[in-house]
Amino acid sequence: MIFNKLLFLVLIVSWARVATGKITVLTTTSDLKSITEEVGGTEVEVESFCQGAQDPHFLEAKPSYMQKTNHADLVIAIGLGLEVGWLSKVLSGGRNPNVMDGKNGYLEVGPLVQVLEVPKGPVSRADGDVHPEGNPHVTLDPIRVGQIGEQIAIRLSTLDFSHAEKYKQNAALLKARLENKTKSWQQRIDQTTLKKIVTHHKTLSYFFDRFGIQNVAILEPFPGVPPTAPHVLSVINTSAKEGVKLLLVENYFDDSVAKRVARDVPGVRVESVPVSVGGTSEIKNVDDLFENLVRKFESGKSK
Amino acid sequence: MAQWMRRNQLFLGITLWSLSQCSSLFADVNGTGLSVSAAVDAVGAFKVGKDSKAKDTLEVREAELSLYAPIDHIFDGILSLAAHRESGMSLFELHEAVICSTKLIPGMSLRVGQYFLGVGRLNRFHRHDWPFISAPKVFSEFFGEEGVLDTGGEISYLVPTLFFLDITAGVTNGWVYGHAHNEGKKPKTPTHYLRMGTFLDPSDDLGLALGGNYLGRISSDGTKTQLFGLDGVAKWNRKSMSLLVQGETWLRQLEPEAGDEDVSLGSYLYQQVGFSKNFYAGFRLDYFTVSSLKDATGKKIHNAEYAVVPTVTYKTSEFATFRLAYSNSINTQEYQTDKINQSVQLQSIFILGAHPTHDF
Amino acid sequence: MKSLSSLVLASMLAVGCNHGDRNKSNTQQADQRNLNGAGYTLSESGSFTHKENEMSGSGTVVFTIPTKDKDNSYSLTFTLADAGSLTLTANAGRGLRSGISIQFTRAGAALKASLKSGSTEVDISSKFRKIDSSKEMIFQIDMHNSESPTHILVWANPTEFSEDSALFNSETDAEAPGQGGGNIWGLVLVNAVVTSAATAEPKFEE
Repeated sequence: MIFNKLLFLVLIVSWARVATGKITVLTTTSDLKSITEEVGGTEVEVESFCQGAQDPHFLEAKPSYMQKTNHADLVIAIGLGLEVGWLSKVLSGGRNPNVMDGKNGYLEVGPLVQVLEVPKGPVSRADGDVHPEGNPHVTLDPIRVGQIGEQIAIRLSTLDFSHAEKYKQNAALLKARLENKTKSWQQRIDQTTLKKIVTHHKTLSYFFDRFGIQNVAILEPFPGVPPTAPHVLSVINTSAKEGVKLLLVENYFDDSVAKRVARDVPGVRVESVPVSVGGTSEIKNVDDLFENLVRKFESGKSK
Repeated sequence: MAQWMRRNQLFLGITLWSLSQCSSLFADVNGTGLSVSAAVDAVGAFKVGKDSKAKDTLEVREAELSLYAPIDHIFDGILSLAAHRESGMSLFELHEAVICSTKLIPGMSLRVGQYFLGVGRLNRFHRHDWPFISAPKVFSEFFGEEGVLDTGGEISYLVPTLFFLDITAGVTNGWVYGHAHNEGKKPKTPTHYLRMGTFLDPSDDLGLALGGNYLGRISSDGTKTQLFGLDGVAKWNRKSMSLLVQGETWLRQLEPEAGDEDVSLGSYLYQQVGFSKNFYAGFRLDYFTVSSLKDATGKKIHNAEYAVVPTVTYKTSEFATFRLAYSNSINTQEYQTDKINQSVQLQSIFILGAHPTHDF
Repeated sequence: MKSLSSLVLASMLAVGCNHGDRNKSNTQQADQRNLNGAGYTLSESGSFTHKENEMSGSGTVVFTIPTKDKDNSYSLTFTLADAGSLTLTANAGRGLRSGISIQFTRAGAALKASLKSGSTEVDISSKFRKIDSSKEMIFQIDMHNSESPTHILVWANPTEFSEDSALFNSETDAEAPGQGGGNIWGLVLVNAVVTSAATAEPKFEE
């Protein structure tokens, strides 16, 4: 009798969860969550698997992600190999045919924008954990974020045609706003005269490309491989030679190696930077994300 | 099939090598989505003390080649072949040959073919994915050194609740169970099993997976086997630091048709700290007892086997792992001298080909 | 976590030490016999005599201490009178029921051998043609009862324990008729003299 009551309650709550009328969207990164929330507005409920301070390369395929996937209408991923270590497990474990690759309920946005750093010639693991389809950190360029917003709007419209116009307008607003702000951000970065930067990983390639900044060295000897002593020495030499003044460490990495470099290179400051929405509590959306990055150039003080 | 494979190892080896060379072609040109990966697990065990049973050898314990691809818009296929050292030779055998789908019924996955049974923790993972080198005593006793492999069908259902609840049930032939060199005999009741798994998500960095398990069969000679088990794994990750706690407890009841009931109980608990993405240190405790052991007069004989296995792991990347462990086991039985077995173990694992996806 | 591990290990070792203490106690009852230290009880005897290092005659001997592990090795040194026999039963229940057995029977100078489980018997005499059963026989017998059917290997006067050196291997020569269902082992003597019977860990590892 008690078991029957419990079963009834569970089923009712499950049904209630399903019957909100909103599109349930899961994104693989918090940036995609922020973009989707802006484009979808009140018509979507969005959750991100990866939180802002987590490294999306190495997420655990938690069963709770599978359970959420089971209820989802749309899964949005970057692709380009970013989620290759965990997402397919989550999707197959979610057992939701509607969000499998090839269905309208699955969207990879990375291949839909112009991709940088596509390796030329053969690549292998001897080069580290290289992404053979190109650098996947596409949401670190405000212009590409606008383009991604448009793609998300198109997909949401496919699932919910009645609000297609609204999604299109929201995406257009997002795109226009970011294009406008990009001009301002460009001017501010130009004023800092900081054009040569060292980073821990090649996360900020799209940001640097947009704003004309040169990433002269990376602390990782190969992508995905933690810094080694000989490589750190070469980074120190390169930094000194190139007159590097700023070393940015993505805040899901330990910055102790970067601080070691800073001790040996005159005038270098190390900044731990969030590279995703939600990377710190102050980064609430993509605008905050880029604004914070620009401020790191301007003053080196955290927002 | 197994006999054919053993006899035709050279042919098979060449075929598989050729396939592995063509992996990029299959994946990129034909658009079939075929992924090919290979895992090689080499282990050495060396004596410590005069009573050690270690062989003082380093050998390739297993070389596994796995192929995975969508078959069509509904089904996926997995083919896994492994070479093991046996009687001084490397023998190829079929590990997994499965047709599976998560697209037939929402919330449900099914697989049919030969596979490692979906019970427990270690039995659901290939040995080269274990966080330690050798099997805990309870596992090798109840499941064999590398796990229970059989042919049958299994379904898993993700219950539509607010929390994660997965129910897995399967039936396999059960002609053999554990290590066997023949095709076995038709059992009176085939192997059947059930697992209920849940997951707790206290924070972004922390996760805890728990499972309750049952496995049963009645062999051709009427011996009834029942296994009851609990498994759990907790993982915490933040930046480059990590913590893993994993354990299983199993009870086995063997009831021969004519004979005394055998009841055995065993557990292991493994704790590991990751100090960086490269370096991990862990410690495993094993316990095993035959709780039904009696002497010829019917008097209970107290007995237990304990093991302590500290382990260090170094990974240059996700694809190369090196381990060093020290194993100290004590086998005690009333009225018998304690047997101590110590050894130093080394392990090297490397993975070629497609990027492996990792279960929690 | 660290203090918990230490507590667990200390507890495990303390229990282990308790078992070690039991090893020192004198478990040999006044009326229990032993062969070279291995205690046994006698049932169904005919003309059975026993000494510290020998048992002879006819009778069923059940060794008191069970074999905890499923896989064990048994060393036997014995002589048989003509038409006499010695049966080793391993992995049996109480009263040596439902075990797996190997029987040696002397016929003149020839030795007959068979495997038994329940009512099923498998003749393996052809593998023992070179044994002179009129003399003392020394056998090492592995019974791997974790396999189904039991994997049995027999070596005669062994110096090494490999599949190649085995006189008999149930995997290649003749499949064992079944699997034992217990932990008790014992001997059935019919006009036999046994000077050594002991159990140990398997000599052959897969």
